[in-house]
Amino acid sequence: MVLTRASQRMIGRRLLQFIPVVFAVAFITFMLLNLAPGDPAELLAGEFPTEERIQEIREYYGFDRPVIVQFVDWFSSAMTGDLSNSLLSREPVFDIIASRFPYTLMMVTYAMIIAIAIGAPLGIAAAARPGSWVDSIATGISSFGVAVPYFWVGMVLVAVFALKYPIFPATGSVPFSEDPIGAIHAATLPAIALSMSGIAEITRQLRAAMIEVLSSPYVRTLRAKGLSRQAVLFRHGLRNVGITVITVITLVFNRKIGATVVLETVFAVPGVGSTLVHSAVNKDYVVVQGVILVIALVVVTVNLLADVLYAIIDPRVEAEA
Amino acid sequence: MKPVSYRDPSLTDNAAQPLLSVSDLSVYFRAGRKSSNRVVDNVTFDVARGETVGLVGESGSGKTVTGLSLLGLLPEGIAWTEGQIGFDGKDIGKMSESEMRRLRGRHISMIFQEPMTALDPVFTIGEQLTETLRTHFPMSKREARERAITALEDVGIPLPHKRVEEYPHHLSGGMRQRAMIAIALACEPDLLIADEPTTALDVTIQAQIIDLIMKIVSDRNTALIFISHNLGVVSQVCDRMITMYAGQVVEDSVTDEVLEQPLHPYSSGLLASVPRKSVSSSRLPSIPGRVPSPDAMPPGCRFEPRCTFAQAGCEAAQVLHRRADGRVVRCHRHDQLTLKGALT
Ligand SMILES: Nc1ncnc2c1ncn2[C@@H]1O[C@H](COP(=O)(O)OP(=O)(O)O)[C@@H](O)[C@H]1O
Ligand code: SF4
Ligand SMILES: [Mg+2]
Repeated sequence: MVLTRASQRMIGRRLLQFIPVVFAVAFITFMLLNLAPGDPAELLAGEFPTEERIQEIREYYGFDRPVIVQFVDWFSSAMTGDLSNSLLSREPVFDIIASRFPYTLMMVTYAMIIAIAIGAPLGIAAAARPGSWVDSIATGISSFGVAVPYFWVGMVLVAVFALKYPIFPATGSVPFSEDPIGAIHAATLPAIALSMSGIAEITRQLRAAMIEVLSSPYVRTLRAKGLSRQAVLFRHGLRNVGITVITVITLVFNRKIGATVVLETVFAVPGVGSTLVHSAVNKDYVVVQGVILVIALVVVTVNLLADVLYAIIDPRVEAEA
Repeated sequence: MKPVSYRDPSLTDNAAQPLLSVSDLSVYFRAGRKSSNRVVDNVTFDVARGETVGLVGESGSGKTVTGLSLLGLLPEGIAWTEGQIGFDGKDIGKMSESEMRRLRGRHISMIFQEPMTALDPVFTIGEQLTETLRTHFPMSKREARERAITALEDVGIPLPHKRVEEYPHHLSGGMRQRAMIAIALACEPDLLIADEPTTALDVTIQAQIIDLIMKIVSDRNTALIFISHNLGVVSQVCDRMITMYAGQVVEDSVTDEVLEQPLHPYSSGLLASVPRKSVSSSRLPSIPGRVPSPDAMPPGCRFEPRCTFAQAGCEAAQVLHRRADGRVVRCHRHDQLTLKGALT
């Protein structure tokens, strides 16, 4: 499968969109955070500060400058990797994110693997025999996964598998680089909780896509050529639902990144999600801004990768481009 | 390339025995919880080796369903058959799924109406050809590819070595139907079922595609069932014509005989609605009325509500008459009527 010139152009266009999208996300969050109540200078000045002290801090951090100027200043440093320092800990925001991000990445990756490993075979098996018992199970699981909130699943899992039967830790994490097995063990419950809606979504969408493929006219041609049901399902079915697979995986990934904010707090995982919540509560806007920028970068990159995969997998991309 | 033997030693090649022998084939479709519709009713006909047979009738007559049942490809769970389908002396109805698979594409092939949707959009033309070959013959990828190129050449596709790398959406409708034909004929089957292969195509291309099919089947002595609602096309290319109406065979005669004098009023009506060059400007006469739906079949002759020759006796169910001249007709008045043909 070679990329045609048209699909290369398509990928080029997506790459060009990359920078404006990240810029827009950064700009909008910066402005919104500026509108939010609470003055960071007052926060930094400690208890019972004098008006002069607050003014001093404003000037020191540049909070007295026009918002636009502050933004340009912050964004241009951010481009060089300097996300400025935390208002609370004075630690560079880049370092904070660099130390927290692996936990989030680990949890999301783990959850994605669970969601794909269960959702994909279930959706395909259900589509291969609609109306069968496998199909009923798949439908049941996907309705359950969609309906149930993931933090509730998280709490039930903790109650059963951490407190009643202490198989997994209730909270906390282990760095993957130091103890991979321990890290996986510790991340299991949050990853399961996080995977629920993903399993549901992948099962549902793959089932629907595969049923559509299997009822298309070319499947009749394939059967008329003497291909077995399995060859039709696995060879032709899988490649044809490839587009849906990429779409749904990207969608599920985007949602999971959002869900980590709540779930990391429930499980006390020291990832970027809990950092975001913690910093927002403490009005540490510099960290909030940095985390959102990094999350935006990750999401936009994953979506770009998905577009590249579309171009590789679907020969018709060029026809639409 | 070492030659592949397309002849299957397991075939009997018994000239006395028809290649395909369909007897009392009925096809039922489930309709609702407990009821079903018989959309093909006791269809009986033979096809000899190398013979070209037309299967004609208006839309909804059961032609496609008949074709699909020969391949065992009716939608599972909602359709089932009764009767026998003998192919080279073996009963297809008694075959296992894996035996059926060895038959499909290898001994019996089918071309469908819609070339735009009948090919897998995300597989190259070459992949779709080689997988057919490699399903039925032990062949290396390279060998299959070379054969695929030859097969595309055989159906008149220009630059075949380039086309094998292309996807269906790169090809025009006519070229796709040629590719479809190449796939269907890649394993040199004994019987080709062509279901309205030109209906979806541009008029200017239709004749080319029909000529191509006829050339290949006559070169290779492949038997052909040519399904069409256009009796004009069928009468030009087929040795014999089977007319179907509302799921039943109503006439089965040698083409020249039907053209000269059809035996069934429905055949005659179809002939009258065939466009003729000399009268192309005037409106075509068509048979008034419609094919009855499977759940509202007239109890007697199914054509009776539309038949201008209906009289006493037609309210009874009609049986197939096998006449002394070898022609078959489902109308009790076949001896009395002198119907208009295409030549009269
Ligand atoms: N999948 C299906 N489900 C229910 N009925 C069907 C199905 N396919 C065909 N039929 C019925 O079978 C009859 C014959 O259809 P078909 O063989 O497609 O006719 P033709 O090919 O002669 O136009 C029609 O009445 C149609 O309604
Ligand atoms: S049986 Fe009667 S109604 Fe039916 S085709 Fe013959 S003449 Fe017409
Ligand atoms: Mg049809």
